[in-house]
Amino acid sequence: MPRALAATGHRAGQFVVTLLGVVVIMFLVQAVVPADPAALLAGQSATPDQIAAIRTQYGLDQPIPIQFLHYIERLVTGDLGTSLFTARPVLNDLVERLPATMELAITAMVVSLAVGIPLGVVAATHRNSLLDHALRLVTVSGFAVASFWLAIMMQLLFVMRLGWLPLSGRIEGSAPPHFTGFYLLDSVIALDPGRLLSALLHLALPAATLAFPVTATIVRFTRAGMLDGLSRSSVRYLDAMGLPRHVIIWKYVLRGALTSVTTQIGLLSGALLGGSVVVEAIFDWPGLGYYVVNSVVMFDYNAILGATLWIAAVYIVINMLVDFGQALIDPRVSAR
Amino acid sequence: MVVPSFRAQALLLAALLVSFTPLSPTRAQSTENVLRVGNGSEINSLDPAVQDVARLTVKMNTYDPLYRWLGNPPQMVPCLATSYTESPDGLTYTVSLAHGARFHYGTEVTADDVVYSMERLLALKQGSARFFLPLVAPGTTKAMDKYTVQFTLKQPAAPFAGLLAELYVVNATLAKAHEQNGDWSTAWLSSHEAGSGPYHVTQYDPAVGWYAERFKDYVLGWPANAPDGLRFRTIRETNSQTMALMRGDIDFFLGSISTDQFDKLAKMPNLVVMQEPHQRLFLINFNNKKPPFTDIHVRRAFSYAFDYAGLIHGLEQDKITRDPVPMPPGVIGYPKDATGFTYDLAKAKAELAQAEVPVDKPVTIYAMTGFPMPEQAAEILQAGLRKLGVTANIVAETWPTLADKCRNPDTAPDIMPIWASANYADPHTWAGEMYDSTRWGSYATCSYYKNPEVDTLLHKAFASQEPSERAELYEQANRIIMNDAPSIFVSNEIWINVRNKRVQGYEFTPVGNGNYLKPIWLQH
Amino acid sequence: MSLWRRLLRDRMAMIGLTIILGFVLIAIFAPLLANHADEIYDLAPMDRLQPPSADHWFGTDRVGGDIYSRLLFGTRITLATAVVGVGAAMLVGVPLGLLAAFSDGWVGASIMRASDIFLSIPQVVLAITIAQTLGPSIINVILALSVTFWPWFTRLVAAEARALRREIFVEACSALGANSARVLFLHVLPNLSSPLIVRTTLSMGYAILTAAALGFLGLGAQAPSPEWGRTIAESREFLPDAWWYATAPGLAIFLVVMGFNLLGDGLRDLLDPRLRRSQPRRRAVTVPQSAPIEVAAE
Repeated sequence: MPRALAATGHRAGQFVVTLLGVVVIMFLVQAVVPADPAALLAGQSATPDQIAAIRTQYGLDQPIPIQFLHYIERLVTGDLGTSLFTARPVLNDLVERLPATMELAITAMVVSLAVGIPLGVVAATHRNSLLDHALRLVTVSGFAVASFWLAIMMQLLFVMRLGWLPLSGRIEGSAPPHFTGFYLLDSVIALDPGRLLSALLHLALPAATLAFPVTATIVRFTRAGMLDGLSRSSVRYLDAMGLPRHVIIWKYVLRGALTSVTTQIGLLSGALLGGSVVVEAIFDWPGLGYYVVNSVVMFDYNAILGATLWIAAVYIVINMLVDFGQALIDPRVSAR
Repeated sequence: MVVPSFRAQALLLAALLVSFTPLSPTRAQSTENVLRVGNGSEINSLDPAVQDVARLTVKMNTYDPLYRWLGNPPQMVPCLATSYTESPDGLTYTVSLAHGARFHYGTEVTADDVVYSMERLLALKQGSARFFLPLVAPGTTKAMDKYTVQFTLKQPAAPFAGLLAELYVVNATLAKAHEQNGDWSTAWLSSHEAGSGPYHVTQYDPAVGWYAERFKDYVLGWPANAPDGLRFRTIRETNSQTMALMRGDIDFFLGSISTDQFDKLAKMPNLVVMQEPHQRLFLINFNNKKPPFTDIHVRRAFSYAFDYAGLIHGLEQDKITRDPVPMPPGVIGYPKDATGFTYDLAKAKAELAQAEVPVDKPVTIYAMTGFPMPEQAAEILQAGLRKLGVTANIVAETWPTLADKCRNPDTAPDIMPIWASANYADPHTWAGEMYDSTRWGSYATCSYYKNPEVDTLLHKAFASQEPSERAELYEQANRIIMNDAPSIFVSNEIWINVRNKRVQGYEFTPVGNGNYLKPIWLQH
Repeated sequence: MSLWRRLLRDRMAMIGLTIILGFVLIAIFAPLLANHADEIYDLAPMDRLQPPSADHWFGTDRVGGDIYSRLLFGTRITLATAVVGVGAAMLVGVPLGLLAAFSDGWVGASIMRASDIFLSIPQVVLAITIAQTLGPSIINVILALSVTFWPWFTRLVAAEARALRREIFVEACSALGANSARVLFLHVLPNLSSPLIVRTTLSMGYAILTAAALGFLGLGAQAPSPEWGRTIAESREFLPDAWWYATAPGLAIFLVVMGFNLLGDGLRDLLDPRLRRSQPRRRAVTVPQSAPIEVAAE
């Protein structure tokens, strides 16, 4: 399959170019920073000599293009530098925090699909009913509500007033034994229902916050795709064949509608990654988003750069996987 | 109430989700023999040489210093040391170490470890190094024998013995084994602990917190029912902190509890309120080297334009008390009759009229991000200045950025609200650390105030061995400083906190902000 | 003007337009509408955290400020930030998009590549990095918005203009010897106005959300600015007792963003030629083409 190979090679090339571009952007942004990174590294009572020494040691005395080349050089070997704040290799921090964010984002995605697709179908089959209008109101709200406000309002209701859920954090007490870093999976593997429950309860609010706008998108797409499918002549044919209505809707029409939904998953994963920044900050969720906010607040250069690169890479990889998956399902897509 | 309904929900959900497996209680932890502590900011490093004020907890509970400050008012109590002698000229201190104190990794604590720890501190120049750098030259600390260390000072210093509480001892053998390119093992020690303190870190994740086991062979022994371990969790949000305490998810919170949440906590049957006099000043520094603050009348005018009552009685609801002196009450050298400035716009205008340097441009107040009190104080000052016809802008920056700017007078903030805590129990920790112009260069001196008379008084007091003479000298210095108004002296804090009923034996100490937890035992 | 009449018949779009006009009026007349206008920047420490009452309709905040009056003044900040931020993004993005569409070879390719790269970083991440790097202030929030929004305009304009380029009249103009800048700005750009209006309206809502998120994270306006995101962040310390503190500013954000989205959806149904053309008459529902992009933008 030389064509598939070439396509993969092209994709990989684009991936590398995009990541390089991200590093360039971040370098440009950081080139105008007011604070002196060497002074921050040196600590509170360092002398000017010491700061100068650190500047040389980290290559901060060199022109930005040279620093850029050095960064790329180290990047190739998987070295993202050391975080000023945690004093550990940035890559370690990122790898450690990825599962928390992935667990949150995947849960939100699963919830959105599980809730959004049936609602979209119902909205389409009951078009212009009261239910359809109510659902439209909800989806329009999904795009208009500020996620941080929604999070706070849910905390106010479900935690502070009703006391049903924990306010923040990932789990009560200590984490389950580490297998995958996903607390849900790890507590299942460890056969620990207490921790599983705790992890689920902690996931509820952040995942719901993150899922709200995504669900709204999925409802809209499913509804539109369903209406499109229902209006086709093939449906009338199936109808004439005497197939039960629910089989036509849930089997034949929905399948068509789903292809338009799956094209959105890649883009929506970007929304989830971006949204996790604010959501993690509110729920003290120890993932990548929280790490980004923390690094930004602390002017932690290597960490900001590394985290941005990492998030961009995760995003691009997800999109590639989605495309790949689609190509498997629908051969027409690979022609794009 | 909150707890049962949570339980009911939890059980219902659990029953639904895992009905096939036997249920373990959802809150097994609360019966666990572990002291669970909440902490307001992330613990980013375990290294005792780099930690700053906000993150004292690790070093105070997992490392040992030579002496510790305990009780309120603080008393110096031997820890790794047993005694010290001071040469008549005040330049040489010889410290004897306790026999049999062990590091968590087996070896005995010796004089070599103390020497290594001092050299490491001086070389890294971070954290507590600022106390030793003016006094101790690198290479002058000597191990006389296995249990004797000798410190040689550059100049006599009355508070030196007290400073020994700031020298936390690192396992030199272990640290040296993990050195990379002469980094004094900073990389390794940032995520590994190598101390001899009461607790021994076994798990550490900067994002979540850390867990330390009780060190059973601890040299100073343990009370009965001491916890098996210490679990620290970072809880940044005020609300999460309050709720964790109310629900019993944590036993204790280290850091200041929000004034507005406190009354709610005080009503909880599972919590006990603790209140202690504290030594933590709140002041607003001017950059005395930058116009218009070079003019004493401008500084005095601004000091009259601050609504002290509004902050103390209004916003902070009397959880802080007015303190017009750069020193908490009760410390020697405190001028008891001092009244200081009041909120008086007429006097402020009169002072401003006398000023020679015009206040014709907007001034900038720098508030630390994430701390409500400096922000609110900035707003109060801004409102007062508006009534004087002075425009003030507020800029929020993070503590690391501000601390960085404070290094030199050119970049130091125009106006910055800040706290001053006791670093050691000696009057010198106040005016001496803040207004001695030979100490310029850190956030403590960010007013860049220089008065030769004050310098002379402070230097004399620093070197003097005579308490009554020192009291007199500090009092004189304080009076001059108050009149010069290099900063707006606002308040001293009352330490108010709560603990879970099961926590017993805790004793608050202003030095170290009450972070020492070893005396605690748990009631079942 | 049949377009305008058709818009008038779209109930949802009209609701959106009314909301937007309402907020614009509020922004203009804030000093008249506020019942404590003088106290926006003044403190009343003894009057803090009061629940809503006849005197303080939406309650008071942590320093005794009247939340209702501050909300009105916050409208000015919100609208100005979004308008200037999105406007600047257009000023950068539209010419770049035209350039990309009309220049063959590496210029066009590299512009598109650059916009791809910007879009591969989640917008909030890039925005907070920029806002914090430049220092927290409203001006820098505007800058962060324009830096993160321009690629959307570039891509939209490039795609539309490429299609136009093939159309006869552009070729005709070029053949007649009109210089290319003239062709671009006088003949191509007016034909792009419909998709641009739609995109701009929808972008406004997301710009407001992004700016509010920056304010919430402490990277925007500083105290005592009545910016909405900031007010919500302040309120967290005083929950659940001061429930009114975050409620009003959150609803305000919700309403104004909703207004722009409803209007944008309505305009898209009417204006977007690509959508109209691609849609058979019988399909009454419009596929929300930009919705996922908008979500991704958040």
